[in-house]
Amino acid sequence: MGPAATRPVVIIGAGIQGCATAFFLSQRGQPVIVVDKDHVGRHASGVNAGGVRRLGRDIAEIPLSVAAMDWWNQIDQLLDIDKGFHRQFYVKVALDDAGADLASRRIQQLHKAGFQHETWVDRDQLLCRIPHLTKSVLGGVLVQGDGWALPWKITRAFHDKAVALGAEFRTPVTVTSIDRSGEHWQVTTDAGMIETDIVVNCAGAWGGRIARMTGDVLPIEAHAPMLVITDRQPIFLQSVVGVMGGTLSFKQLDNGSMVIGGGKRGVADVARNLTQIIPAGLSSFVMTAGRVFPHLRDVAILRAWAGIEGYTKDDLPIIGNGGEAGIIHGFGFSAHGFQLGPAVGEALADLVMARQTRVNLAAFSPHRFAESPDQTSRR
Amino acid sequence: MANQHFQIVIIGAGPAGMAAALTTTKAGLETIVIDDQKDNGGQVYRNLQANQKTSPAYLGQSYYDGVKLAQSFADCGAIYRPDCTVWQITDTHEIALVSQGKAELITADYIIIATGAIERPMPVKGWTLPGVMSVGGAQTLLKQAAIGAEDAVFVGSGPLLYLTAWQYIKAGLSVRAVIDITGTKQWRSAIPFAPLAFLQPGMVAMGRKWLGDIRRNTEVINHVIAVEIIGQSQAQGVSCTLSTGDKIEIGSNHIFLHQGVVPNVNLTMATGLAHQWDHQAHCWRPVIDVTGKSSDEQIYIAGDGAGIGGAKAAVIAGRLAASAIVARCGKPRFLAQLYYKLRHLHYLSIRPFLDRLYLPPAHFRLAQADETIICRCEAVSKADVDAALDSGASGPNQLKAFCRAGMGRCQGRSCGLVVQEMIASHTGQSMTETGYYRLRPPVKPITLAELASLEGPWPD
Ligand SMILES: Cc1cc2nc3c(=O)[nH]c(=O)nc-3n(C[C@H](O)[C@H](O)[C@H](O)COP(=O)(O)OP(=O)(O)OC[C@H]3O[C@@H](n4cnc5c(N)ncnc54)[C@H](O)[C@@H]3O)c2cc1C
Repeated sequence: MGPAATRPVVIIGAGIQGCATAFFLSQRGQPVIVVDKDHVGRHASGVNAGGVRRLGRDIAEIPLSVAAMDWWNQIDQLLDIDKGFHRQFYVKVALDDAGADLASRRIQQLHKAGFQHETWVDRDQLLCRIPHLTKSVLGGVLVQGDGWALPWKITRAFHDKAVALGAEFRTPVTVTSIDRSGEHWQVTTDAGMIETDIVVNCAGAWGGRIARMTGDVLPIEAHAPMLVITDRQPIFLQSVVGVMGGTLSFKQLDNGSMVIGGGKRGVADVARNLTQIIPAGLSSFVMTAGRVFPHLRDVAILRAWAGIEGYTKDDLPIIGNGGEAGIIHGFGFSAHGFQLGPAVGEALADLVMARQTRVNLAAFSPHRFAESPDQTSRR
Repeated sequence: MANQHFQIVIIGAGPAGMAAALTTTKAGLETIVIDDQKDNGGQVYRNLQANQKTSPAYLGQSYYDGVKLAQSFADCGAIYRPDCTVWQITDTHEIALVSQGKAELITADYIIIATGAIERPMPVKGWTLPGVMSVGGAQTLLKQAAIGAEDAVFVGSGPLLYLTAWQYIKAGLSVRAVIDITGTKQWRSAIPFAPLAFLQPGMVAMGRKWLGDIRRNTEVINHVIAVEIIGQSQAQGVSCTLSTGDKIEIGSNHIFLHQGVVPNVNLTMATGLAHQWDHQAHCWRPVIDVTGKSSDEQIYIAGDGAGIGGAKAAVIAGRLAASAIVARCGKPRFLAQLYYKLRHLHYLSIRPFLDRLYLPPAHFRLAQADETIICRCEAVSKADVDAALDSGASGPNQLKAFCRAGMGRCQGRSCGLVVQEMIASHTGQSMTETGYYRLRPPVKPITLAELASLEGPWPD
C-alpha cells in the first residue's frame, strides 16, 4: 500500500508517541514532519521512570500494553540499539494484609477477564528472588518479562530511526493554530505554515490545547509526577519493585544508581514548561522505599525531578480520530504511556493510513468525553 | 507538624551572612542563620576561632580582620544553625534543611542567600589525578588543619592563587614554582581600569606585597599558553608550554590549580531566580537590584554569591540587603542604606581591573586535549562532549541526556561553565543563548533516610 497522503503528515510532539508514530509511518513510506516546541524527548518521554510494565494496568489497557510488549521484546533489532529493554520481572509487593487482599482481588479480577500474566508469589519465593527485600513482606503480584528502559534513549532511538527512514523533525517549533482550508489543514507555527491532510496530535500535557485548535474539546489536566535518583550502589536488584495499594516504583540501573518514583506530584507549570518539586511529597515515597528496602538508609539522593504529563478523567489515554476528518489524537497517557509507546505509534500510523488497528481502541475514543449538547451549544 | 516560621532566614554564615544578621537582629527581627560548615566564617574566615588561639602569622592580616565580625555575630542574638544544609527553597518560600540526619521545613518572610563563591573549574589534562587539588582546597587544609604540602606547584591565576602561595611561603613550606597563566592580552585590557583600582590602595598594596614575596621565594613562570599534568596514576609534575613554544617540565606530587572564583549559583538557580551572564567576569550571576533583591521580592542575595567582590564588599552587601529588608519591615533606614550603597561601590571599584586581568584565557577555560575529563562525577571526557555535540545535542540540558555530563553528585559545579562554553563555541551562540544546566533539588546530596525523616523514622 502506498502513502495515505502525498503531503507530509504533520505530527505535533516529539515525545515517544510522536517519535514512534513517525517511525512507523516512515517505515511505510509515508512522509512526515514532526514539530516540537522544545527538543526531542524534552518532556514526559525523556524524563519518566522508564517502567516497562503490563503489571497493574487497567483491564481496558491490557491488550494495548501486551501489543507494546511484543515490540519491546524486539526493540534492539527494531531500532538498531543495544540493551534497549531490560527484560526482568516487575513485582508489586504486599507489605500488610490490606496489600495481600488487594493482590488476591486483583488476580481474581484479571482471571475473570481472561488474563493470566499477573501471578501471586509468596514470601519465601519473593525473598529468594530479591534477598534485600524487607523480611516483613507477605508476598507479591509479579509479571515475568516486564522490566525497564532508559526513556530518553528509547525516545531518541525512535527519532533517529525515523530520521534515517526519511522523517523530518523541526525543533524548536511551536504550533500556534490549526485551521481548515478546503480539503486540507493549515498548521501555523512560529516558523512558518505547513499544509497537510492529516494532523496527529501527540502533544502530551499540551494535547488538550492542540485538540482545541482543531475544534475538539478534550480536557486534560497537567501534573508533574516526581522522581529521585540515588548515588551508585553495588547491584542488588534485577527487577522493578512497587507496592500493592501504593504507587512506589523502584529500579536499579546498570551503573548502580536507583530511580525511585512514587506517583507523588510536584507542580506543573505548563505555560512556562517548568515543574516544581514538593519536598514533603518526595519524603513520602522515599519512606515507602524504605519500608521495602530498609538497607538503603544512608544512600544519597543526587537529584529529584518531575516531568509534565497529561492526565484524563479516567486515567486512560485518548487515542483515535477527532471530530473532523484528518485529525488524529494520541495523548493524555496519565503517567503510564511510556511502555505503550511502540503500540501507540503503530496504532496511530494505522489510523493515519485508515487501516484496521491491531488492538481495538474503543476504550480510548476521544468521543467518550463528548460534552452534553447544551454545553456544546455554548461554545 | 506546622513548619517553624522566621522573619529572616539567612543562608550562609560567611562575611555577608554574618553582617546581615547583625543588622536584622539589631532591628529586632527574628533571624536564623544556617550554614553547612561546622563553624561560621565561610570560606574566607574558615576556622577563625581555633586559629585565633595560636594566631599563625602566615594566614595574614586580612584573615584576622574577621575576628571582630565573628565576635559580634556570636553575640547578636540570631539563631545559628551550623552543620545544616539547605537543599531546596520552594516557590512558596518553604526552605528544606537537613541537619544531623534529619530534614526539616521552615518558612520565612525574607530570605537572604549568602552562599559565596566556588572556584572556576580548570580542566587541564590530568587535573583529576591524585595529587592535584584546587588552590581553594589547599587553602582550606591549611586553615582547617594546618596541613600543607612541601614542594607544591601552584598553577593558574587570580588573587586566591597568589594569597595561598604567599601563605604557604609564610608558613615555611617550600613552593616549587608558581605557573602564572595571566596573558599579556589581559594586562592590556585591564590597564585602563587600573586608576579605578587605586581607589582601593590597601588592596593594591596587599596584592603587590604577595607577588613580591612570592617572587623572592620561588620561581614564577609567566607567558604560559598550555598546561598539562604529568603522571599516570598520580601527579608527577606539570608540563607547560610558553608563548615562545618552549616547554618546561617541573616535577612535583602536589599540584594546585586555580583560575578565579565565580558566584556559587546552584541554590539561587535551583530556586528559579533570574540570572544573567556577566560579560566582564565571565560567569552567571543572579539578577539583583542595588540592595540585593532578586527576581523574587522576598529573596535577597548578598556577597560573592551575587557577584565576586571579596570579603569586605560582602560585609557591606550583607548590611545593605539587611537594611533594605528592615526598611520593608517598617523601619526606614535611608541613611544607612545610602552609606552602604556608596561603600559597596567603593569596594567594587577594583573589580573591573581584577576581572579583566584574571579572566583566564579561552584556551584555559576550555579543555585542550581530547582525553581531558570535563565532568569528573561521570568521567565524561572532552572527546565525549564533542561527540555529543556532533550528534546534535544543542544545549547543556540536552547534553546531559547525550553524554551524562553534569548528571553527577556535584550538580555541575565542576563542569557547568566548561561544558557551556564548549557548546557556545560549537554552535556559535552566545553564553546567554546557550544557558546553563537546569538545576534540581537537592542542591547538595542528602540520604534517603534524611529525606524520609520529614515523614518519620526510617524503617528497620
Ligand atoms: C515522572 C514520570 C514518570 C513516568 N513513569 C512512567 C513509567 O515508569 N512507565 C510508563 O509507561 N510511563 C511513565 N510515565 C508516563 C510517560 O512518560 C508518558 O505517558 C509518555 O512519555 C507520554 O508521551 P507523549 O509523547 O504523549 O508526551 P511528551 O513526551 O510529553 O511529548 C509531548 C510533546 O509535545 C510537544 N508540544 C506540546 N505542545 C506543542 C506545540 N504547541 N507545538 C509543538 N510541540 C508541542 C511538547 O514539547 C512535548 O515534547 C511517566 C511520566 C512521568 C512524568
